Amino acid sequence: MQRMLAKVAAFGLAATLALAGCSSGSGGDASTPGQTPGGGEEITLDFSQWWEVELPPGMMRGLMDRFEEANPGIKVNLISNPYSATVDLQTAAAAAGTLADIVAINGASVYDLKTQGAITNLSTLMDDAGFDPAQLVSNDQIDGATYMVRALNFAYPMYYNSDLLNAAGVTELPDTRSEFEAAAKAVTDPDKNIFAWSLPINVQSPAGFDSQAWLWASGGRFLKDRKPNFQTPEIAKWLEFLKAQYDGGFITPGAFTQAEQQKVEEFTAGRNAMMNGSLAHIGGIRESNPDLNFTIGFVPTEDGFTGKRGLAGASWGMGIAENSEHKAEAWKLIQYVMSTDINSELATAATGFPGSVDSVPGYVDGDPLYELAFKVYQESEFVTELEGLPQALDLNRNLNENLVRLLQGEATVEQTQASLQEYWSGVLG
Amino acid sequence: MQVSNARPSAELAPNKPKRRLSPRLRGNLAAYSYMSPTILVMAVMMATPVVMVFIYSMLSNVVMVKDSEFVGLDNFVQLLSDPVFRKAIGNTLIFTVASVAFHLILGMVFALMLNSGLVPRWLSALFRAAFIVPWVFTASIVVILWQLLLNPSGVVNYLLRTFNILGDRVEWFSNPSLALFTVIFINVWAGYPFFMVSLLAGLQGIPGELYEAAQIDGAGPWNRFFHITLPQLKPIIVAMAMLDFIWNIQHFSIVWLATGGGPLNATETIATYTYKLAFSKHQFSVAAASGVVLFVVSMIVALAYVRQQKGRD
Amino acid sequence: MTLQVSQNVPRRRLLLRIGLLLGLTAGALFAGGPALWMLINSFKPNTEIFAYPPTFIPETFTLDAYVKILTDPGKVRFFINSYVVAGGVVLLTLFAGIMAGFALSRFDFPFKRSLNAVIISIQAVPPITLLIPYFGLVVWLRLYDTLWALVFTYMVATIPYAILMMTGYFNTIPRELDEAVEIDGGGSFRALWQVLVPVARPGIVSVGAYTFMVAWNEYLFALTLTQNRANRTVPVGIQLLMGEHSFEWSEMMAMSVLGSIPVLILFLLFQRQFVSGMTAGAVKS
Repeated sequence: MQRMLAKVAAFGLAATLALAGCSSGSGGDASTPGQTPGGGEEITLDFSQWWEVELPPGMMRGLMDRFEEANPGIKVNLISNPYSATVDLQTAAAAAGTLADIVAINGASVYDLKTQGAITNLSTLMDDAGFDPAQLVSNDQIDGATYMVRALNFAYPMYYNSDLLNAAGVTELPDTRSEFEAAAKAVTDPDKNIFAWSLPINVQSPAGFDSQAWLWASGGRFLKDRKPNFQTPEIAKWLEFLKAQYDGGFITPGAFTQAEQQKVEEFTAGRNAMMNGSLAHIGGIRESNPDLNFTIGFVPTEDGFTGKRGLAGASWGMGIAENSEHKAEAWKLIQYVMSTDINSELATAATGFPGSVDSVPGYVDGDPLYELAFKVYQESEFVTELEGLPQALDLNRNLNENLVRLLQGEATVEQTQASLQEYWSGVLG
Repeated sequence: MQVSNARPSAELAPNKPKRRLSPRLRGNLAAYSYMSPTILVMAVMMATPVVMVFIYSMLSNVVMVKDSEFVGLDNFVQLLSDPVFRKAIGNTLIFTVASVAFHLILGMVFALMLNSGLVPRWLSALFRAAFIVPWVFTASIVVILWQLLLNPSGVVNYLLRTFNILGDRVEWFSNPSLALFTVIFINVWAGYPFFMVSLLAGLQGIPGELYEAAQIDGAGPWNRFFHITLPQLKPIIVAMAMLDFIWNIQHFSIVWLATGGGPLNATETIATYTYKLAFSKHQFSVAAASGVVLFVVSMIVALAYVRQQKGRD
Repeated sequence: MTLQVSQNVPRRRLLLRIGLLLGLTAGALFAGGPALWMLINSFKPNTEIFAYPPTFIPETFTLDAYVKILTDPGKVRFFINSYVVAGGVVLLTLFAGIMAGFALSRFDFPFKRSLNAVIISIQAVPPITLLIPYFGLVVWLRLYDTLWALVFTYMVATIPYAILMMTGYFNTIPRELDEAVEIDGGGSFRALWQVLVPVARPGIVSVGAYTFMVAWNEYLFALTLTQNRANRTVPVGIQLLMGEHSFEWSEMMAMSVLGSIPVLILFLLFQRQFVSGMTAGAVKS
């Protein structure tokens, strides 16, 4: 008895001491202003993002160290958050007025953060700093002002497993939906656990553009003048295509709850012949499975389509918190990230396309796969239709719910179109 | 004065010896000082947020808008008129009742097996450690692990196909008629050790003489279980079942991470529904109303429990 | 199955034993099988985790994931934080729970039942709805981004169970025991810690185990109430390995394995309490 009590007490004492030590050691020192040796007031900018884990270890910190060197008196405190929790954390932090000075945002949440009054008008800050927005590849505005600057854009082309296609006798990459269907049929072999592609349409964290990419590639869009426009022949054909793929058994089982990452793993493991995915996966796939023989191409279009192809894309954006006390300094940091050299470096490391017009990603030269990707990117129209919309995540979830109902056979194509039109109209007006 | 309490063997206790100075006041003071750490933590950490949730539930959209107005019960009306919410109530009840029942059954079976004294001590220690394993994993790992196992090209489907138990791959999560069963199964796996450990502790409290006496009377194992073990454990079982009910009725992480409430709302529970309301539809007031509904239901269960305790005095 | 047994007692016990062993093995497979799969996967490179047919013995055995975690002081810090928080919560919860359980078991006082009902049901407000006002409170209390914020938050969740268990345990202990101490001139406080607490040991250990696990596994508040890496716990650390473009599967598994081994050892150390047995019963007679 005594021994056990002693054990408990010792353990507890150690824990309490450690706790006291930890909280006094690390609590708050990030945000308290201190004096620099030179005597000037030193400020610390909090930069909350999910990029650190996506980049090579130490890369993000290295960039920030260089910023600090160039800007004495400003320190940057990097806060890493899990990607899946970004929006929730930002909403909660904005409500409590503790949003980090600079927040990484993606286009899906920018509108809501702006409505919540969480992020500040960047156009004013650009003017104050004498920054010309023409240096930005894209300058999306909400109500006539900029709230997010895109550091990088990620393109979502089609990945093709050359070995699987060759083995099935498909020698040329499919260019149209019917060619794709033929290839899918040839490749799929459930007994060997090989399926043509994966269509993750879960409602937990809708990410990726596995369904949308097909519509956008052929010039179709969900919206017209920011109003839902689902009752079009393009949408109907698109839904019929997806339904035919599902009914044909070409899609990996488990689609309704499959996660974005599982899709990538299916392709990497060589069980899917085709995948729509971010360019950022190239490095990861090569590292995980060096033997995988794959290439990159366009998303097939509707038969007979001749217009400019659409290419789905996502972005890494940055905004500044309304509650930040150092907005001018925070803008300095954004401007630094958007400067020609730094932006190129970031683009190279993340395999994205630069958000600054003068930057060139370093990976394009020499690597045939990246050259191919760059060609696809340049010949296509970059589509980010859901970005900057109110409740973009909820709209995406609604899209997936409707797709599940369609594929499950509980709704017809017309019903799906009507249901989407109704729900999206309710949100977008 | 009569110092009564909630203990089953109250008749054993004589009245407190009389003291000179108002024993009632002394007793109350002592009791409240014993309660003070608990009251302090609860009051500081919970009072304001809970009150705010109640206020939110009666305002027009909070958090997103600066000037909200009082709308009475509108949010509750909106909530209850949503067919998805009504489906979520049904799913939540199935999820909760099944989880509590299987937590209890598995916990009991494992605790009894471990406590039987028929296997060597070291072996039973080993099994005991093995049985609590599911408990040490955080929800996101639990879900990832089961997704790896149950994925159409995962181990379970591989074994089922290799041994020809089921002809085709089973879409454990994606099939709308299986999904709820699957998440309940995972929740049972992750949660029964709590019951097992508590029941093991409870079994230690049952006097051995009771069993010896029963053995002499010729009572078989079933008789002994139903007439000694179960009645003796009843207070613990009732308390745990009540708490587990309250935890599961608002359980979020496993369901959310595994299916997000899908497919086709097959696993939509009140918690996943509320989460979507708050963080992707940004209707924090309605989400607060949904929280209040859960709170009221739990409060009723808690009150019933406390009354039942009183009845046993 | 044990109902229809022959009169032959030794044979009956043998059959019982065999049945029991089978049951225990099946149970262990059900409980530990998935965890074993996690352990196996933690030694595989990322791709092999998704190989089909699955490999039950890693073809490429690698300790990479473990090296990556153990050589990164930032990641080791997650473990320290988790243990510190869980240890603090256990200690404070036991203290508060034992005291309150004693009060509820031995005293009758105004508002006793309502207080009890409120404490039990207050945890029923779903954390998701609570999150935003709660976050505001923690910021206001200046606890934001400290481990204390987590300790106090988890206590709200663990105290109700601690109180219920402790009240139940104390109720089974005859009142004469503590009264003897009080007659000897010791106060009720001494009676509690010298007589009741030692007797209620199995209950205390099971409350401690439960409390530890709650604090150890919690994710939502750990994520929301801290922001600097120095204050993150293991569940958040695991989540940080799930990026936008890539998941570090084997590292996630390894982190989970590394985190759980000390917990299991701790449990093994304390589990004597569940078998040493007959403590409460012995006192009763």
